[in-house]
Amino acid sequence: MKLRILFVFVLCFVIGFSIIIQSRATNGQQLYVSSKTITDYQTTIESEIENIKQIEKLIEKTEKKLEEYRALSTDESNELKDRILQEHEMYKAISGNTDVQGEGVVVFIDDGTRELYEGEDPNVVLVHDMDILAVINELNRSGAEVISVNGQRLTNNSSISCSGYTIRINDQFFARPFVIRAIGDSKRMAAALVGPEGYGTVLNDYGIIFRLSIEDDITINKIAEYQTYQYMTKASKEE
Amino acid sequence: MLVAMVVGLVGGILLGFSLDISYPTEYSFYITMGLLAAIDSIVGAARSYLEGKYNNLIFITGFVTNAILAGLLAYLGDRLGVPLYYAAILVFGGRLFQNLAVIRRLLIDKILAKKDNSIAKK
Repeated sequence: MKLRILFVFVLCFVIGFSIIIQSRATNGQQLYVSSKTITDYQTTIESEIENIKQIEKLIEKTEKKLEEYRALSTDESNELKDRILQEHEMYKAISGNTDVQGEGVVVFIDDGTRELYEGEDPNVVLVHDMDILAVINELNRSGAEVISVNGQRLTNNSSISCSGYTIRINDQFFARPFVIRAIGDSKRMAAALVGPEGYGTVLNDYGIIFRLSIEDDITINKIAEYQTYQYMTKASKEE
Repeated sequence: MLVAMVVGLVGGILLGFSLDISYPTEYSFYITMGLLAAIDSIVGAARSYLEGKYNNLIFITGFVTNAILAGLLAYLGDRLGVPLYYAAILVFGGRLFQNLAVIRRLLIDKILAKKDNSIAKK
């Protein structure tokens, strides 16, 4: 008899307690979330975590560098200067102020030589600035580090535009054929361009001549003319 | 009996308000399952008490096994992506109404029997 009352008491206690806990946690809102939202959140969280990891790595790297500089600054030797000069060389290579070399691909693009169908637009077999831009875009996407078109080094403010039968690259005019050199992961770049869905295959299908060769040692010259910067100054406050 | 029920409910509600417990929302299904199992057991106990078939062991084991099965179903449903806890909700909910109907009938019978008795006495 006593046991029964105790059981009933405990159960009622549990009921009251969990009702309150549950209603406080849900706040009267619907709890049901579709599984798509959950997976969306999951992917977002995963990418955020990946991002955080990368940033942490960057911080670690930078701190190590700082540490090195600190250690070197106390030294009397020229090691610090050497290190800075080394870095200077690297930045020169990146900005296009030195000749660089490495493995990569050479892309040869020329106007098509096939006979046109009756009434076909000859523009179909001509190389346009858009084709060159698309190929460069594809190369950049697949890991190219340096690109040049007909010997013109492409830098951060290169431009490519159409000018009649020629193409204007960095304010210089170039006619067909076009040779694009790119240093980077050659296999990846080649696969991106000549794969079944690659832009090179598309061009070939149109009748435009597109050839790609993988080479072990490509040299890309530095930019022909120096850029002048008049408007840009370093931001005074870092945010 | 009734006193124990009311005191238990009020005590639980008061404790729930006084303690600021928060838990991950994933577990809310399990709490709901436990809640349903508890309500089901209480109503079932009330019915069997009125029928005169009440047994402590059946009561407490019924609650524990029902709660465990409901929790397992919710967990399995989570794993499989199929809302299996619906089964528990439907069964508990259905039985709740069924038991309530039986209790109602029993109570009405009792009241009617009392009236008959009083009429017969006169």
